[in-house]
Amino acid sequence: MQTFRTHVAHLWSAAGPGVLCRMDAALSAQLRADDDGAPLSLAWSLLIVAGMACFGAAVGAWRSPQQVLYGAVKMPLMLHAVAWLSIVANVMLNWLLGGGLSLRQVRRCILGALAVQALLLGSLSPVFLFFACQLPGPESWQAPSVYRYLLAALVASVGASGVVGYARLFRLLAALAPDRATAGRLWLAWVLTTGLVGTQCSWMLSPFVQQPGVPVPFWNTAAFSGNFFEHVWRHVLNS
Amino acid sequence: MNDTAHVPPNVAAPCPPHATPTPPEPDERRVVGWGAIADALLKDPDMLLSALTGRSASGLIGRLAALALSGTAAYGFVVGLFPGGLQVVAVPLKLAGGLLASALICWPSLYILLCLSGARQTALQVLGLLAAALALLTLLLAGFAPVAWIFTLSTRSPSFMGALHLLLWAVSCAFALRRLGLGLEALNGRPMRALPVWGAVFVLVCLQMTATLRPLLSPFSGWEFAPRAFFLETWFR
Repeated sequence: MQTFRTHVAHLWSAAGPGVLCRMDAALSAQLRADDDGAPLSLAWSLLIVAGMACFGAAVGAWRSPQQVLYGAVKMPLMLHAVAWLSIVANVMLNWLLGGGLSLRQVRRCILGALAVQALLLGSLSPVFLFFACQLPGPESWQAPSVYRYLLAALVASVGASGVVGYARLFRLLAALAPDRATAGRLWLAWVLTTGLVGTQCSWMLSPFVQQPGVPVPFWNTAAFSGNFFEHVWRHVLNS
Repeated sequence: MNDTAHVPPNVAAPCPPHATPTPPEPDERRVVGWGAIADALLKDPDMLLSALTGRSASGLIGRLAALALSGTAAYGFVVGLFPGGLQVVAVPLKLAGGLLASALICWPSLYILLCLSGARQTALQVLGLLAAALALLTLLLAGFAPVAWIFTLSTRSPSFMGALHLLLWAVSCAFALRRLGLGLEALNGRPMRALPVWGAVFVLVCLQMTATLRPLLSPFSGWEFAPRAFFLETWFR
């Protein structure tokens, strides 16, 4: 038990929320050293799970207990899918663009950026939960408009926290890459890769808040018969 | 032979003749009483900041929270005088509970946003700074209470009274948030760029709390929560 506590305390001091969000010179130096002293990837993976599960559950609380459960599972799944599905491409892009980072450094950078996003969303989850429990419920006549506002708030907060997370990623890359120009190119390439994967993952795992009057599915009902871009294209053609 | 062998166990060794207990730091000693806390909040925020980041911070945080809750309850009493009856008791309790809930809801986001801005404070220190800001807010509100009370005597319009309470709260909140920002800047040596974002979230939560805790300006209708509604809808209904 004492050993477990020591491990947790070590993990917290090396890679806890405060350390990650401040992302100061000590953390950059630790990443640059590229040793396996502190399990940063494990710590940040756990932060992603905790933060996104809280956020998913809080948003889903407006709809139903089933949506709470699905949200708590799907939100962390989405971010981890983005991280792990794009990691091979990101490592290769790093080599091609002259980043010179190791696989471990790439993994830590991506997970760190996503963990910042998850922390920010997790810290907002009490606010979302409060509003989800206070706004008119899915059975009320105002439900369609509340649903639209909630969806807009969800998209805005995920988008804004993603911007903050990727801004932190640039800071990390600027500290690790040989020069700032390389860091910029690498950052852009990673943003495009993870963005591409992210849109498709969020499409497949949606809805995070199902509209009222419709059963709550786990996957998007069209998840395996099209993709995000086809869906957008059809909407453009039909409008 | 070792001299200390003559000292029996569990008996404190005598102090050397010139040794005195370590005195508390001056800033910590001066913010012990309620009056000193109120003074520090209004006149000497730097002293309060140093006390909040010092050794006896947890006791001070508790006193600041108690001050914030009692100040809110005092203002709530004046708010409750407008509808009268049982609201004189219910509104102070509701407002104090609402302030506490709002603070707890917004504390995690404050900590994370401050960390993202480069603040070096721990979560407990951030809680202390939040408690200080809320104590200042409620101190100002309590100061405005006679102003609100004089209007309570003469007007019968809930809309006017609602707007007046909102105005007084907004002024107090602006001062409290400004002081929080200045304090954090002094502690960290740089402005906290994410603080306005958190301020907006906090204001939104507090405004929604007015809908959660209603009725506040109409007669008492029981202790259960009112039906779910967005705050703007309840204001203009």
